[in-house]
Amino acid sequence: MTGGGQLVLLVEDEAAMRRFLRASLQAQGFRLVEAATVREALIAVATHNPDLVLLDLGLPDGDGIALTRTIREGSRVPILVVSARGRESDKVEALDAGADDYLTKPFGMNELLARMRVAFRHHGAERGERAPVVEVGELHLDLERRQVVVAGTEVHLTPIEYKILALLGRNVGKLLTHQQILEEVWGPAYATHTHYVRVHMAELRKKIERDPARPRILVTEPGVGYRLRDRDDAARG
Amino acid sequence: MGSGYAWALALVAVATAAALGIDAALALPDVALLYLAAIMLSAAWHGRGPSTFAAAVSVAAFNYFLVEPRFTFEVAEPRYVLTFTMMFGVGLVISGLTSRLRTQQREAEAREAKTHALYALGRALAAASGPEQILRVVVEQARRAFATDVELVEVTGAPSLRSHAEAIATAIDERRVVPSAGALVVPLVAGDAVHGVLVFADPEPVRRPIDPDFLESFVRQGAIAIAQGRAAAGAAQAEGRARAEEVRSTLLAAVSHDLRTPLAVITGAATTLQGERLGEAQRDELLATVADEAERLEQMIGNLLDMTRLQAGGVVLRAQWLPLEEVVGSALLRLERRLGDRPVAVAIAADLPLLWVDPVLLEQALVNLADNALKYSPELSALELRSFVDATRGDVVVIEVLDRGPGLPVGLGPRVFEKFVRGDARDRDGFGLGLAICRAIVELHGGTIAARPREGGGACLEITLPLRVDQPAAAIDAPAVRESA
Repeated sequence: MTGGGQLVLLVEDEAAMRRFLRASLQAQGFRLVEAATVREALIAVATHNPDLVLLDLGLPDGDGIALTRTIREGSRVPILVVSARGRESDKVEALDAGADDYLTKPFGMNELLARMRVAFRHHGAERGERAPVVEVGELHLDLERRQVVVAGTEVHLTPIEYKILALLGRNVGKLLTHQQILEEVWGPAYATHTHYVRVHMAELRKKIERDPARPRILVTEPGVGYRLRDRDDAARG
Repeated sequence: MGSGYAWALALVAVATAAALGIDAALALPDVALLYLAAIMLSAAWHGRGPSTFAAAVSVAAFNYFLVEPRFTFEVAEPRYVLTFTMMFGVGLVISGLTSRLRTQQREAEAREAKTHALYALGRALAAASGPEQILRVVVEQARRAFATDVELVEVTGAPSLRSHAEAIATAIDERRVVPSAGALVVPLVAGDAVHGVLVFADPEPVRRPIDPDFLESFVRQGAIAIAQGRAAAGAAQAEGRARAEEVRSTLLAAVSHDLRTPLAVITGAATTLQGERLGEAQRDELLATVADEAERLEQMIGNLLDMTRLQAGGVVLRAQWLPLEEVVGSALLRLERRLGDRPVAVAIAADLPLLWVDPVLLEQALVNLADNALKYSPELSALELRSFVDATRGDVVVIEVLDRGPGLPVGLGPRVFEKFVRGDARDRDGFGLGLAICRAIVELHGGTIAARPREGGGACLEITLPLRVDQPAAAIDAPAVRESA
């Protein structure tokens, strides 16, 4: 059981999906509010103040991305978007609009739970419970001492590489878009230079991954961005 | 034509004037040559009639103006009678020879014009494609070749509504050229069929008649081209229909069988789980089956959707500059479960430049290639991926996926990249769409895909992508990066 009685707002128009998620999430100890439309979702956010929103982007009455933006105007509640394969641009838009992560349909329950855990943790971290040390697989990243150790050996990174790794480390398990990384590391003026990120990421992987051709720590979500894998994720993968 | 005689008269007048002018200096027989010149010119310019006329007039003028007694037609000396006869005779011979030459030249020119017109028709027809365009070319070239207005009448049209309707009907029925009021109605006959009717405007059928032989060879060439064009179009259509039919039936078979199999397994497992009291191990087994079959189903539907989208042209290339390593990395990550403990060897040339590709699509292509290699090679044999720039092929980036499987299916050749073609008919993990999707993706990038046997056994599937020379500025952000931490 993962949930500790947190309230999840499920925005999904498919009854079968709601049925399956309801059963599974309740079994995990979550409480549930359901909404089938954008309108219902907005009301539910205002009246129930959920701990997490699980949002299907393919809603019949409107734009899930606009809904994400609207929610973000007044709330930091974690938002996980769900969308079909091949809709990468939707995912990027939703993430840039403030969504925390995404899931591709169809997804497994443990994948959903892992994403939810990460989202809850970051929400907590934003309130000042930030962990100074990130450990994923063989990587040991000390954000306070600016130290990177891989399999017991200290690794030297260029300032840009460190900035990227630290950004991903502060958001461990969370997906960051190219845009978000560019803006944080290079500044907003470089928002279109996605190949900057890609080239430095390739260098970073050579220093951190055991097999840079098959990265298991710094993973790519094609067309969307990068994720420093969460400990559970890396162990499972 | 009357102007020829006037010209003959004028020429003789000029010769007479000249003769009178130089008469003092020359002997009379020499002066007679001036008249021969006039006859010759008349023959060359206007043919036999005017030049014969010129010969007669010349004799008369010579007699009247130059032979004593002048200004009478009387002849003082009998020898002049011989001169006149000779003059007239030579004039006739010259006239005959010259006008024959002229006719031959005219004929040669006309022949050349016809040959040229037929050649132009042939060339224009070679460039035309499709029956519609061929018909248009025939009409256009006919207008040019016969310098008259030509109209096309479709056989299937309603002839009663048109002018020359009766002549058109006769031309179609009897397959012959039929003259009509101010027009010539010509059927386009090839084989057993009439492929249309040309109506030639024929405003001067008497003075400038259309050469029937030329008309026949012109029209025959056009008709054959039209017949061939129609036959080819019909064959292409039939082939297209047959292929569409084949694809449809394969798809139907695929949907009915391949999609149902995993569904049947899922239904069976789920209902068993509902009803029976099972041991822990059996329960786990059934649940794992459900998950596996659902994943297989998802993969198949994903492939079908990908193929449909790619074919419908609904896929927009979202190309970006990126290192190949990244795409390979995410592709291998997606295949992590399938790869299991298989060794994977990736060799990407260190100097490989950034690629201008769609990361999502290229990843899909690599996943499909790797998936194909895994499917057809023994467990635990290595999966290999190589990439390098091949300058010998005009600077292309080559990406090879190699396996140690049984090699390429015999007799399939490049058909392995076609839809619904499977290397092994027993393969039930897909519709035979994986490589077709690869090809569509690669072609969207302006690249090529090929399969060849690998040295030492196995298969090598090879993608080439055009290398873009306008590489983006180095992704180095000024001094910050150079001072290594």
